[in-house]
Amino acid sequence: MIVEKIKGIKPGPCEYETVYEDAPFKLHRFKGEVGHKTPILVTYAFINRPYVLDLHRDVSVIKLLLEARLDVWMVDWGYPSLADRHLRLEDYVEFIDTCVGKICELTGTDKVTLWGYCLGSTLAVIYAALHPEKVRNLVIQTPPINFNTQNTLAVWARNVDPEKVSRALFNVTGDFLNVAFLLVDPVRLVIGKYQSLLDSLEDEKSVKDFFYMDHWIFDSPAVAGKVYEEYITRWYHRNEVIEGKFTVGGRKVDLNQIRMPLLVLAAAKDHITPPESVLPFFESVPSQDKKMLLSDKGHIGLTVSRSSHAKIWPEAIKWVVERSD
Amino acid sequence: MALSRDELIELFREAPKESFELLLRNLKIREHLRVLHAKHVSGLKLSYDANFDSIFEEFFRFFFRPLEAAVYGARQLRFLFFMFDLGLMEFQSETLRAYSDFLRSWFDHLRLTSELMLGKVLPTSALDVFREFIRTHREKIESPRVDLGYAVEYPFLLPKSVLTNLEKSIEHWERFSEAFKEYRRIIKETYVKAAERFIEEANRSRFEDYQVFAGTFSNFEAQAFDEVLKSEDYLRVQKSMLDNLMDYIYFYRRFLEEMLESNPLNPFATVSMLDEAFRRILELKRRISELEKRISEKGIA
Repeated sequence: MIVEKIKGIKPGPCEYETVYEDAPFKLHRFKGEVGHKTPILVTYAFINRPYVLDLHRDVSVIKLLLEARLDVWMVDWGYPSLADRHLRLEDYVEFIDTCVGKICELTGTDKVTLWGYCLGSTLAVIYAALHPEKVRNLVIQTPPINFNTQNTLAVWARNVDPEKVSRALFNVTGDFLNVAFLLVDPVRLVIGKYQSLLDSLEDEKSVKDFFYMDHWIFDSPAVAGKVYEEYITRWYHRNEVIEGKFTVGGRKVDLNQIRMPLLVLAAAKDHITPPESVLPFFESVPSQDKKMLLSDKGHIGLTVSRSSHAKIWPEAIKWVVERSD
Repeated sequence: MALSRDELIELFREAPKESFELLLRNLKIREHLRVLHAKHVSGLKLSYDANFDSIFEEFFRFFFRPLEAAVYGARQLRFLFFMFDLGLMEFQSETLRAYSDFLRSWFDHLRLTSELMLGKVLPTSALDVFREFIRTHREKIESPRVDLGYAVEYPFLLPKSVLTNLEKSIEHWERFSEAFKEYRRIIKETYVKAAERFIEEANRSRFEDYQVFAGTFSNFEAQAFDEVLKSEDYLRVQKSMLDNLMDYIYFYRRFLEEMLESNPLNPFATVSMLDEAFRRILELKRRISELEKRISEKGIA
């Protein structure tokens, strides 16, 4: 029975403790033996849940980092409610700074490896440009830095009036965003994917993998209304980050400050943030020690596919470990 | 492979609701594709038939449903709008007037009958009490506007912005409904054209394997949608639909909120009032955090 195969599915096998909280944000620290000096702070996108990096034992990136004896910390942006609708992008950047402060205080270090994923990469790049002295290494995974790309999602985002959406809905609900994410590729995501599942109902591993992923996909937090307005207007409409026009609290985000070691993880078949979303950034930042690893998978496949776990992740983790003492 | 009824119930408990719905729809899609495949392998030519239409309906229901809910849900607006129709109000006031005339006659009838009856069985003092009761209630019944006419004058009690918001919400709902019709047309045309191309291909070739047959159908459809979803027409209609839907939601909510806000008996804060309070709280929180930072920096220095 299909249900027997998916009963008790619970993502996030790696244990952690919540070290700090400023609702709706939290800072978690994963439990494990630490063998390297520089802690890693993971900042995931605020439009999904971060446990995709720790979906299950076979494809957990967090597990690999812990096995490499790295000290792993993670920002959890939570589930914004009506009380959070007026949060701004600068509050997110400010919280990263608070987290870095806490980590340095608790571990006795003065720098972290900042690891951004998707829109969390955009925040990580902004933070690294504003506080380069606190970032030892910068790792960005499927990062949207250049928003002027031709993928359907970007074209739609440039065609949306975010103020109307936020005015009507207050926060932009997960359901609203899910419909948009499925509609960008409706045949493959609504028919192809489920027909493949029906073709492989006898295969327990495929069924489990499928439902681990679907649980994550549909566990979608709302995006705080004002953050949605800013992210669509300032990032998609005006492309402020790559054009050097983005400011935080009056301070300009200067990408020329990205001089620390930089690792970019991109995915060739990414329909959300294609490689063009990062190439101009990668080519132009002055960092001398920079590397790009390109997976042949999509936006999420880079994290959870077994082929990425065989090829990309060992190399990525080796790169981090070599720069963590 | 079909799932039994018991399995489906269990699956509903375990899986996300979206996965469950999409799985159910895909089971139906599969049934139709199986019928088409059986026809194809038996050597019959395929043509665009009800199976393709059913696949379309199952396919897009997930996306159309929230939009249709908005279209149908907004029908209540028409009824509200009638309440403010002046012609209708005039008609209603005539009905109410006739009703109050009837009540007055009925009242007089009861009064006279009671007086006759009471005069025979009760002392005169009790009759005086009854007459006093009749006198005070007669005043109320003589001025029916207080009780009955109020209903038809209700719109004039509301601030103008309430009616303006209602009018705007109706206007945006109508535009949204039009855009949704066009949106559905674009999607359906794209689907049908791709299905017809697939039919041509299937009638030229032979797909013995069901999975190859279904995969080819999906590829034709996927390619067609890849193109149309970025087309100028699609973008224009999608924008109009989304903008008008959002405006309809906003103005309709403001209409309801302002009606409540203008009523001194309303004991509830509206969601917009809460939103404004949260905005001010967050602003204060930012200032406090900034001050704490400055104090801490000075302390270190």
